[in-house]
Amino acid sequence: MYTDLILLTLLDELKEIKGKTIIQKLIYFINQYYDYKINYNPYFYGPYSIDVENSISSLKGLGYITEQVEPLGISQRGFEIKKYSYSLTNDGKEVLNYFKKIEKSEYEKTLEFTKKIKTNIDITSVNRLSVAAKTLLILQNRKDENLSNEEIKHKALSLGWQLEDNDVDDSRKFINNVCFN
Amino acid sequence: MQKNEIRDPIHGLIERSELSVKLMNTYPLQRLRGIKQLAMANLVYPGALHTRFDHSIGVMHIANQLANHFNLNDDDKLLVGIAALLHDVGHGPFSHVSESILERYIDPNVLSNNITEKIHEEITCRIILHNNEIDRYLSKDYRENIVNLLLGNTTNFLLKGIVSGPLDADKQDYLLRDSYFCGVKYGVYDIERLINSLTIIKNQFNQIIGVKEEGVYNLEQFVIAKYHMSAQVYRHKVRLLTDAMITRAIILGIEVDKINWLAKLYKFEDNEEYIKNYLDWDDTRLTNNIIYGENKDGYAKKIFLKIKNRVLFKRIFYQDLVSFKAIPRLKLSKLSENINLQERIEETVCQFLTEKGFDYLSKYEVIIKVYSIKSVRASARDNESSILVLTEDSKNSTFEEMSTLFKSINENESKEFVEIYAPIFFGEKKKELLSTWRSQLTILIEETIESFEKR
Repeated sequence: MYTDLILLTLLDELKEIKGKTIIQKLIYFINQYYDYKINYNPYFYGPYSIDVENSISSLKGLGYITEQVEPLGISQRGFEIKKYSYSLTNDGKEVLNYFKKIEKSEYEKTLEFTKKIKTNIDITSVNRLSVAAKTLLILQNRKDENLSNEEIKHKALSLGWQLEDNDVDDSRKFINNVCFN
Repeated sequence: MQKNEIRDPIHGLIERSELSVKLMNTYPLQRLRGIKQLAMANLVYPGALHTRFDHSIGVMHIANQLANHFNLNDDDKLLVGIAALLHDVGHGPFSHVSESILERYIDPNVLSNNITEKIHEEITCRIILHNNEIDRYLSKDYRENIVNLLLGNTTNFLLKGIVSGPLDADKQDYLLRDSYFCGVKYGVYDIERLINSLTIIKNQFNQIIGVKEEGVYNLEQFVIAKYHMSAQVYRHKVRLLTDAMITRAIILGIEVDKINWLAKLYKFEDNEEYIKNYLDWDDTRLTNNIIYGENKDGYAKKIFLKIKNRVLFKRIFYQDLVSFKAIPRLKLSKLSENINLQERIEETVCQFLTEKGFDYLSKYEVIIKVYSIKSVRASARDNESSILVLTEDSKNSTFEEMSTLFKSINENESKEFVEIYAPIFFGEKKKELLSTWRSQLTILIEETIESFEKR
C-alpha cells in the first residue's frame, strides 16, 4: 500500500494542505485512478479511509509531517473551531527522497496525477472535493450505467448525502476530465 | 416456560435459549474453555485466567440485551445471539499470539481465494459452516447468515452493528471482563446506561445504531475505559514481553527445532483435515506437548519452560522511534514486514551483548519489537468517532463533533517505540548498564539498518 508515499508526495507538491478532509479526498481520487486498493468506505462526510487516517497519524508521530493548528472562533455549540494544516518536515523530505529512489514509478504517477487534479478543481475547497468524491464513489460503483443526475442524487441520499444538481454537474466535469481520462 | 440461566461474574444471570444451550455443549465451543482470553497475562495479573468460552457467553448476553433494547423480532434476536456466541470459535492457542504466527506462514494465494482477511476469522467461518456438531443444530442457510453477519456482509446495518461495529457486544463484554479478572478498574464503565442511551438512526434506506445526545457522556466513559485498558493492561510491558516470548518459542519450534506437529498447526491449509486438527489444540495441550512431548530439547521447550517458571526475558532496550535518524526510523516502523532485517538486527544486538560478557546468549533469544501507542483521540478515531448522535433537535451529528472530551484532547498522537528483550541476568548495575546501552544500541541499530540497505 502506498498511502505514506502518496501523502508525502502530495505535501511536497502542494506545500501545505489545510485539513484532513482534503487529504482524504485527494488520496481517494489517486487511489481510484490507479486502483491502489486503499480501503475507503462511504462515511458521513464522504469516502473515508481509516488507513489514510492512520497514515497521517503515523507520519506525524514519526516526525515526517507537522500539524499546525489555527483557531477560527467558537461554534454555535460552544466548541472552539480549529483548522489544521499539514506540511512536510525536513525528515519527511528526506524520506520522500528515499521513496523517489525505491518507488520511482509510483512517485511519478502520484505527482503527475496531483498536478492534473490541481488544474481541474480548487484543491483548497473542502466542499467541492467532498462532493466530487461522493459523486465519484457513486459513479464508479455503477460504472457501466449511464446514471442521470437524479439517479446520482437518489443514490447519494441512500448513503446519507445531500447533493444538488449544480454540485453533480461540476463534479461530473471534474471526474470526466481527471478520473475517467 | 422455565428459563435456562447460567451465572456469570460480570453479567449475573444470563438467559440461554434452547438452541444456545445445545451449541454451547458442542466441541468447538467447549474447546474455548482451554483458550485464555489474554494468553499469559496471568503472569502479570494472577486472576486473568478467564477464557474465550466465558467471554463468548458474555458477548451472546450483551447481543441479546441490545436486541431487546432495539425491539428486534425473535428471529433477528436469535440470529445475533447465536452469531455472538460463535464469533470466537476460530481462535487458536494463546488467542492473538496464534493469529500473528498463522499470518507469518500463510500462503498469500491461499487466503486471497477465501472470504476473510484475517486468518482466525477465516477459520471461524469454516468451523461454523462445516463442523458436523454445529451442523446438527443449524441449517446450511442459517450458518451462512451467521457468517455473513460476522463478516459484515449484510445490508442490515442494525444487526451488523450489534455483532461487529464500534459499539458491538464483543467490545462491551471484553472491557468489563478483562478489567474484572485482571483486578483493575480501568475498563469499568456503566454498560446499562450505555445500552439505554443507544438508539436507531434511520434514513430513507437504512437504519444504524447511534447514540442519543444525552448518551454522549456514556460513550465518552466507554472510550476512556478502552483507552486505559489498552494503555495499562493490553500494552503492559510484561504482557507484551510474554506474548513476544510465546511467539518466538513457537516460531523457533517450527523453523529451528523442526517440530512437525507445530508446523502442521500453524501452516494454514484450505481443507477439512486442517480445521479438524486445529480444533484439537488449546493452550494446555500446546504447552504440554512442547515441554513434555517427544521432540528433542530445543529452543521452544527452553522458552516455554522459562514462561512456565516465570523466568522471563528482560527488556534491555526501549527507545522512542523519533530518536532514530529519518530512514532507520522508517525501516523500524515497518519492521514487522521485513523478517530479514529483524533477524539481522537481533543478530547484531546478540553480538553486542556477547562482547559485553553475556556470552551464553543465542541470536534466537534476542527479540526486537516495535509498538505503537495511540492517544485516546487516535484510538477513538479508529472506532467511535464516526458513531452518529441523534441530537435533541432531531438532527444527526457525530460523536467526534458532539463530545467535549474528544474536542478537549489535543489532536491525536500516535507514538512508536522499539523494545528489545533477551534472557539477560543482571547484577546490581542494571540501571547503569541499560542507560549506557541505550545510546550505544540506538547507533548500532541505525548502522545495521544502513548497511542492510546497502547490500
